[in-house]
Amino acid sequence: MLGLKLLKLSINVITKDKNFSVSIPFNDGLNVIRAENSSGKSTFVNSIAYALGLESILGPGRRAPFPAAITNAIFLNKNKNNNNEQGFFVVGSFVDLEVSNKNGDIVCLRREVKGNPDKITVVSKGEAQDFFLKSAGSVGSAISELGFHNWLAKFIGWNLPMVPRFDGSLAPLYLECIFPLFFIEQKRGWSEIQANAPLYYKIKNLKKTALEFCLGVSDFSRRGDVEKYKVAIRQLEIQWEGIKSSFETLGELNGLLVNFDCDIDSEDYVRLGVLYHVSNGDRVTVGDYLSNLQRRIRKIDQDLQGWSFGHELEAAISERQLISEKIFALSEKNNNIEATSKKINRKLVSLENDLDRYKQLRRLISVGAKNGINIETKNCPVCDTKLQESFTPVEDGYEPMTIDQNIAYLEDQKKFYDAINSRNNEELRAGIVQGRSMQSELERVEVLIGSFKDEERKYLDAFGNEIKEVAELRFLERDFQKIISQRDKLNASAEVIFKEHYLKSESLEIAMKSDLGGVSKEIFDALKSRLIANLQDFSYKNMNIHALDISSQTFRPELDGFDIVADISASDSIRIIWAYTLALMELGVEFDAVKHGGFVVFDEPRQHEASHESFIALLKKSKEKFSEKGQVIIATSIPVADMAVLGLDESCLTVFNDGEYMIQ
Amino acid sequence: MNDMNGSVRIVISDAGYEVPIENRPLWRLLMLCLCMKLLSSDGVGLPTAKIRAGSWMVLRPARWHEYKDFLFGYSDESPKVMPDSNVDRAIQIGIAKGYFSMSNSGRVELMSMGQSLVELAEQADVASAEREFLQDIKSKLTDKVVKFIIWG
Repeated sequence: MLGLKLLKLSINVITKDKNFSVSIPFNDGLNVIRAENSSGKSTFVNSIAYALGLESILGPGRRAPFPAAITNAIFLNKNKNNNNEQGFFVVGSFVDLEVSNKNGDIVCLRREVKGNPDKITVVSKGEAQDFFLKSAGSVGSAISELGFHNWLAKFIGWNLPMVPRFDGSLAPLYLECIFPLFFIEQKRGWSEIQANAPLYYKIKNLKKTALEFCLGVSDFSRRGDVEKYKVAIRQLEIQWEGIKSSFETLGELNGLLVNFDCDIDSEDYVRLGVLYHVSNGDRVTVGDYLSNLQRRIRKIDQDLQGWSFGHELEAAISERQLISEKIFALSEKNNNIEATSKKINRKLVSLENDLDRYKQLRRLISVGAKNGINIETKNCPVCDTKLQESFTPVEDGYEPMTIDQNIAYLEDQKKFYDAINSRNNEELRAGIVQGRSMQSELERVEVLIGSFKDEERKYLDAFGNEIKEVAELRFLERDFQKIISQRDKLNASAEVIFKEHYLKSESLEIAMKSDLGGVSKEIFDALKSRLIANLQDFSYKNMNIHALDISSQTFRPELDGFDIVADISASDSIRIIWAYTLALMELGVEFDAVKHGGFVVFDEPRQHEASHESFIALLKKSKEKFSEKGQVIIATSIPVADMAVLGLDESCLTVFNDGEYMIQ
Repeated sequence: MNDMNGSVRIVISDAGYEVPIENRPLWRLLMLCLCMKLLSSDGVGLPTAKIRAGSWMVLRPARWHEYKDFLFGYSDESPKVMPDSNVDRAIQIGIAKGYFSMSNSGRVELMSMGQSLVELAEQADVASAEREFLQDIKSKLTDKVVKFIIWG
């Protein structure tokens, strides 16, 4: 589908005294504008881009493509040496471009050159509306409803996709990214296909994405799937290598040989690692080696006469433990009784001492009374208050015991403690007897254990070597069981990775196919066939033309996997740009899915002395192929004398003679 | 007393409270008299410090062997004599009852009543162990030692 049809372009310059302009209508098919160098030919065709707000596709300068004649002053005489001429100073200038879309809607786009170049006025059916260019604040003209590129995309009928930038964010696929496919300006445009693609938008795979859009891809959401699968596959391959490395380490640590039976790219997964035990040049798998070990262990076990006192020895040892614990507990108990007895004895000594002295005191009073001496003191001789029989201070109302009461009390206490002491002593004696009994029981068990141990020694003397061998074999058995367990884990992990790798590889294959298929195979093949046909028509000189291909990765011409422009002559390079650019528009005519701007602009296509015949072929093809749809606009400076040879009719030809400016 | 239900039954007794022998005023007075009689060179009186040290030791028969070890130089561990207000009360009562008197030089001296009490004890064979202890330490419990024991 072709987006636009150019109807007429005019450049208008307003001076104080006179207005200047040039206006050229465009036909379907071929439009050739011939003028000598420096007469405004490039300015004219570049004005198409300017009127569309696409001056950035004219080169990295991103400047308005106008000479001083449009912005400052116009000099009528082309001779620069005539310094006497008074120029016409420009007070205003603008470009009008009349275009129609696929629906036949016609609009006129006006953009000022001297004035306000940041807006474009769209005049449709007599109504004018201004749209801004570049950006208004943080919103660009491609997104804003008042942005010109937003309007233009809608007018063309394109839905600009959001595509990833290098930083992972999304950006619209700006019109500036697409139109370099259709507009080949003179200075850089012939250096390669899409020479003026604007890299400053930092859109990932910009040229390829623009081509994909052009070739009919509408869903860019799966963009990056190929890369994603490649990264995942690489990760799986690293993990696979990691498992192999683990196998090697396992083998090295255990003196085993490692073989890998399977690769990650194998058709089927068998198992990754096989471990071999090597002895005297013979190798057996670790599984077989383990089986042999276990057979040997069973054989020795059968040959060994079992030692029958194992249980009895264990029982005796348990009994010894039990008796020891009982002896310990009894000893603790006896110690506690002894400690208590000591305390009671001390208490008894104290009681006896007190009792003895109390009795002495009573005797003293008694003897004193007999001798007629009153030594008792009832009242305080100092203050004559009642003196209690105690220096111990107590609350009023409590009386101390009398001496007799105190003696009786002490005697009672003594009896009590004597009784406890007696009982403790009894208990201690019983404990000592019990302890002796336990001790002799312990000695009996010790003797029993000793006899069992003797038996055990005799048994070990008889069968020690076999027992030792079995013990060693059991150690080995455990080691190899661990090794096999690790082997199985590694192989299981490898199997998971293998299957995942298989699935991811399939997904990658599908993604790579669908990567092309965002572009249909039909369009892809058509692009190749149109390119080759065009090159044949344009007398492509380089090698076997059938070795040419369209890269499924870049959608650009390639030769044996290399970008073709790098390896061909300059004139063939020009032919390829002609052929490829025209082929895209042919697809735009042929396929509804293909999104083409509707015109191509070639400024000075006869670069690098592309042969006359080739140029004629370009004109002829452009005229024939696009007679009904599509426009080829060629600006050229070939001599007027050569024009006749081109065989062009006047309807598609606008000729400016040497010495005159296009703008008048 | 705990019964089976864990409750407590309280029994109130009419009996008086028990008194340690050293807190019986008469016993305490006897011990002071014995100290004055047996620890003084003249058998009559002692400075109060010596009375305090002597009565502290004689009232604690369980520790007599430790006191002797120190006084006879078998141990460096000095007896720990603490302030005992009952000594002062006993001296006060003793003076009021005519057992002792306080001399102008600050010594407490045994009066005839005190002498009678000591003699009565001898007659009734009372406190013979205490008398023996005091006689044993008499030569060692000098004023200098007393000073060391009390003030360090």
